[in-house]
Amino acid sequence: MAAWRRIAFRLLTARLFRCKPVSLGRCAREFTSSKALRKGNDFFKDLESEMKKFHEKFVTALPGSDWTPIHMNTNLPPERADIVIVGGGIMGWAIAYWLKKKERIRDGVRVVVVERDPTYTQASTVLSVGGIRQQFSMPENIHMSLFSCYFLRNINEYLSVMNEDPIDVQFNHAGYLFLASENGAQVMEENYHIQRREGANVILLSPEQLKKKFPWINTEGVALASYGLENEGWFDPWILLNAFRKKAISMGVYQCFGDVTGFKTSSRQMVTASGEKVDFKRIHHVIVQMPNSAEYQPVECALVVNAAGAWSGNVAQMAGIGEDSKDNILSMPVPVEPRKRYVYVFHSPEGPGLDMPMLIDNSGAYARREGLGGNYLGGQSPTEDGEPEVSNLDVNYDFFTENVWPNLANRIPSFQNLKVKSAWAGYYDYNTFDQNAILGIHPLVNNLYFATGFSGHGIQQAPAVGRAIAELILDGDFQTLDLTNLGFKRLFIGEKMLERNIV
Amino acid sequence: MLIVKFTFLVQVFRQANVHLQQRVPWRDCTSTTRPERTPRVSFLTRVLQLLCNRFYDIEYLVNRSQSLRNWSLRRQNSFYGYTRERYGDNVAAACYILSLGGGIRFSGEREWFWENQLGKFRGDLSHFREIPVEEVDAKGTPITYDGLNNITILSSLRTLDLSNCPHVDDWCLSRLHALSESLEELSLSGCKKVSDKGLATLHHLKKLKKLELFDLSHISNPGLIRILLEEVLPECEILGIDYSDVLKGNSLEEINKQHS
Repeated sequence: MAAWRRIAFRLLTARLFRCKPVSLGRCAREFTSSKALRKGNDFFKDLESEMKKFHEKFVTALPGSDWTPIHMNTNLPPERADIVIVGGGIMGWAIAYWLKKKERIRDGVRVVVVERDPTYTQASTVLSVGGIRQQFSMPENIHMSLFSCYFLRNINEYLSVMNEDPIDVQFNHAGYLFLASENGAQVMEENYHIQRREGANVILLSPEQLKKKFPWINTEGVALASYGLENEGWFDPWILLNAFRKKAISMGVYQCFGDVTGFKTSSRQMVTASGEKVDFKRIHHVIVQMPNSAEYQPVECALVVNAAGAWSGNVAQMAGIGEDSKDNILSMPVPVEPRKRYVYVFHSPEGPGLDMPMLIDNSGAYARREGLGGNYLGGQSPTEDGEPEVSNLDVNYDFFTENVWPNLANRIPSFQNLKVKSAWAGYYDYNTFDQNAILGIHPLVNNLYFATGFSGHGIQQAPAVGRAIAELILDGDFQTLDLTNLGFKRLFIGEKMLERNIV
Repeated sequence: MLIVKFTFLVQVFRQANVHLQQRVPWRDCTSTTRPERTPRVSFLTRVLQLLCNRFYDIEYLVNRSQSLRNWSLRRQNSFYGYTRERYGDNVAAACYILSLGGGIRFSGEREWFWENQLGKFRGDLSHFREIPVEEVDAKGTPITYDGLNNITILSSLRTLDLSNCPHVDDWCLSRLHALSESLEELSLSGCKKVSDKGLATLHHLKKLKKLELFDLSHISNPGLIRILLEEVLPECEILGIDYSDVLKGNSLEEINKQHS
């Protein structure tokens, strides 16, 4: 303490010495210092505490301590990356995992996955019902689904991390049962032939066979039914997402929680063969803004993958697609928009038992068993003009009472007695053009890849799509499954690749 | 001249060195401290330190050994396509099961076929081309999903015993629908990877008369599963699960107390 007083005293006198004119001389010094001394102890006590704080800060600022006036935000993405994946849903992480799996040397590509919401409150992946089926009409869809089944079967070979528990996606092998009325029977039979040819294990059932197999169905109005025997059912998408995420992070993928607010692009004017002038763009930086802050980081990158799900249209617009008013390819927006779909959980005491598959009625209503306690999940896709508005994820229970329940009760009489327990809503990344995926590179933005527009069947195609995009990026072309039919070309020439079996 | 100068210089350096060494003992002259002799660490600590330093190599080796195990399992369970073409489904299935260490019985025959100690089995299997296989005993064999390719082609299989098979899981059970026309007895006791979702797929087996489900302690609601299975398979007798196994350990009285 005495040392402090000495320092304080010296400082005080030094200050007074500076302030007062020299002519006052010694007596002035003595006079003022004694006056200060006479003021009392509080002054010195305050000074002491101030000095102590200063001393502590001074010591910490000396070399050897880790205090620095510059505060680094460790949540920022790296300044440079090879591939930036916009969107941390199942597609984003599947692509990241396959990129890391296919790189031939360790740390061959630096992959950053940017996800806006760490709690995944609005992500389609976790709100999905998690079904997987092979009953499609396009061979590409069937093969993607078959590979995803193979992947899920051998998930521990692919996604197991050392020292972690084995992964169990809770796969229920109940199968999908599609019912068709007179109008749809022809289409169903054609689809059946395509599915069998591509290797899906599906059978057709007449109404009598249907009644014999599933006695709880009311077969009135059903002309034909298509039942998947193997590799169809439902699983838990959250477990799959986390498995992909853990494995990808263990392989060195950088995870960043932030919002992509823009791209820094450069463009070059080029002339097409027909003499039309087009802007050939290239993305140089991805601007990632930190959540709840104005801080942002421009990530310099070589390639960008748009796996943003329902908001892919917005992300594409940031790159300048769909903004031009001129009538060229770049002015055509990516036709993906969010569409809200409801899923209702209800309990029915007399409902069908263990043999209930995922039943899809010819009216569009679907229902499946959930667990062993008599709970079921059900829903229906609304008609084009009855689309709910997408600004929030609130559930409309009237839709169930008016549309879903009558259809379900008509098909399964025991569902006349049911009670709705809860419901949730989620977004489809709906492709308004032809409800099929958009996979591939944009023709005019040279380094932007798309993996979006799945319109409700994304979760069952995710492992296959991840592999396909990784092959496009690292090998230059599709190697295992040829998905060129799902590329951008069909959007420009206007040729719809319609999937006839949409739920 | 140069050589003379060079040798002279060398001599000078040597003498200087000697002088230095004589004048100043080496130990006092050093500015760095000589490293102390490290204390003796145990062999185990040294081994662990070595492993810790080589983490990525160890991880790679572990992953490779696991993939080697998977590869050998796949090889054992490969499809007997050539045998099937030449000798028919039944002989192919017989060869497959016998190679895994299981037993097989043809219809009409009373004796079972097994592998003997040398790993060989009877060579007159080819006589049984036309005779269907009736019973397959695959207790404890490493049968997997791929291996079931060889069994699902059997059209008149009556008994299938898959107890204590470590690799039989829900996916395998989902394939058994192919035997729905003929399968009458099925045993899944002790299969650790089977869960209630796999047991739900057994509703396809309409002709099933006996289902053995002993030692399936990892299933969460065994009594409930039994009730639900009996609902979908009315003619089947389910052994190994007690009705009072509703929740592991709890009795019905305790549950009633909880609810009231």
